[in-house]
Amino acid sequence: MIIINGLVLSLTYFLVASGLTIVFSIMGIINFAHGAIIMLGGMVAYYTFTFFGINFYFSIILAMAATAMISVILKRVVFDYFAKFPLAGCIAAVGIGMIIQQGALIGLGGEDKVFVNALPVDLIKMFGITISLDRIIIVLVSFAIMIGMLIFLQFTKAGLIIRATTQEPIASQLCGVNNGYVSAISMALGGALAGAAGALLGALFTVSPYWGESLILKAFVVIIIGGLGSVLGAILGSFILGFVESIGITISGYITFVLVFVLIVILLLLRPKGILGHE
Amino acid sequence: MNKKLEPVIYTLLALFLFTLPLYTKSQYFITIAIFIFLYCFMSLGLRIIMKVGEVSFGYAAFMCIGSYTTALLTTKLHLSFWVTWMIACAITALVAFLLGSLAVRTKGVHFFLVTLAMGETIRLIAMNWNAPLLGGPQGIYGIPSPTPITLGGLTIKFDSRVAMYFIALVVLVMVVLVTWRLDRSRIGRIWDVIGQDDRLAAVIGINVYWHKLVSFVLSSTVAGLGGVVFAHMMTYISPYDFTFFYTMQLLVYIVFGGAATFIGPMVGVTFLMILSEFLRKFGPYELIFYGFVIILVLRFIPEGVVSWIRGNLIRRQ
Repeated sequence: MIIINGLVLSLTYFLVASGLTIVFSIMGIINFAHGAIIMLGGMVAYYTFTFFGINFYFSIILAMAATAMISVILKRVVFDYFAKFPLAGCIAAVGIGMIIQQGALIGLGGEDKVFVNALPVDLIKMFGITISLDRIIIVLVSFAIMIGMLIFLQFTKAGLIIRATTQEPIASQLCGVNNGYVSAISMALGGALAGAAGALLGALFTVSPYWGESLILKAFVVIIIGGLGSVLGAILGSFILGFVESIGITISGYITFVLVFVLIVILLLLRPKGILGHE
Repeated sequence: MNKKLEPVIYTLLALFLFTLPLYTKSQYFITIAIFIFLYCFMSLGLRIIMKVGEVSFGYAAFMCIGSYTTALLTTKLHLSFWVTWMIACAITALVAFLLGSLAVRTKGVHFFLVTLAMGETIRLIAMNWNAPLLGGPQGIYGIPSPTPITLGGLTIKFDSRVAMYFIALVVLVMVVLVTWRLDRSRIGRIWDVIGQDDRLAAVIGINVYWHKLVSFVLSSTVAGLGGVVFAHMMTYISPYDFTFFYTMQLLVYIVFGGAATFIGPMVGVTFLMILSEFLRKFGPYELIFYGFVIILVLRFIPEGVVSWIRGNLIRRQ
């Protein structure tokens, strides 16, 4: 039970934190609008699933496409102008998040959107414990996304170029990499991850306009643990946080926060950059 | 602006602010004015740590510590406001010193993430730990207004909105004087150097760690002071008042006005708060418009409004 809960939590955090960390590593901006984009992904999945009756797995892909597109548009329209002013860029992201959130509130209503019926909720017995099927499906889909991301970043040429641009933007430009193009691709990647997070987590919980904010705060903790700008770090950080929380919850709900905090402090004393972070 | 004219303008402004309650009887205007003063000195406090090139996202949590300290001392131990504000500031400074000595080891985005985690943890502790004492998510009710002072037969009462207005204004003037003096002192210039390049600062013999720690403690203490004023004005506090988004809001004001200048944050606070009051009647459209204003202003003048006015309009004359 602890393991399954830990897995679900870890993968949740991974989905949220990885998009944030990719966008940061390329754009140098902490995207405070990420939570709002995740919420938007959840909304897209909800509407395509409930109103148009599209297969849920297809609506995940639709949500990913929609949020990827929105992210690229945001980059072109807003973030490109803040390359030299990262702090102002963060504030602009806050503004974007506000607009998306309130827009959703006006356009789509403030009530919780429930589509838990998207996935089968049958209980099945596995290794002596009962688990609902939707959690297993979400774990599997998130795992697939995670492995896909890793393969893309580690073993394809595009992934290599993205990693190179993260480390040395100027040097990679000298090698003939189109930086604008690379950052557009990584924005789209971050957006797609946000969309997937929104659709999957929305199916597990509910979606409402203010939903995204609560998600990204935990994602920040993941990023501290794992190190900013590294996808592997985000994976590691989310697994550490997820399992610490799921163990902590079995002891006492609030001990968890203290556990996480102590973890962060110890980590800071040993390695201020995070486990896999670099300058 | 003319150098000789500046003190005159500031004196007139201070005179106007100190006599403002004479011109209006509206509680609404007074309350907005109190909030503007509160945000003004809070943003100046946040700017202290921004001078060394870092942004503390745990800022609201130190406000939380300050306000919880004064709330507990006045409601449970029935101490006077005039004692508790000092104790609250001292405790905030102590906590800031302990947490800061860990946090300032990191820098840049890592510092931001670390202070964010610290701040949220403090808030969660306030929400979950020892509910009978701290009130849990409900917070603390019935925080008394400052006790009257008797000065040789003359009793000054502090139980009205206007009294709170003067307290907020006096705190603002205090913080303005301290930070203004700091800006022009040796320490202020050392902090500017650290903010521009901390490695260079270390090379020329500046103890970067200590200076960053001192500025973190000072900045957090101002936040604690803000918490005290906030608690006694609202008479009711809860952990939800001190979220990360509160710090974010302050940061919006500061960046909008321009963090590099001294009056930038205050101009940002005043302008944006008055703007949001005007927009209030449009409901949810308020925040959308507000978001657009922020994005558009920063898109064309990312260094902040005050810096831009200084650079373009005044030089041109």
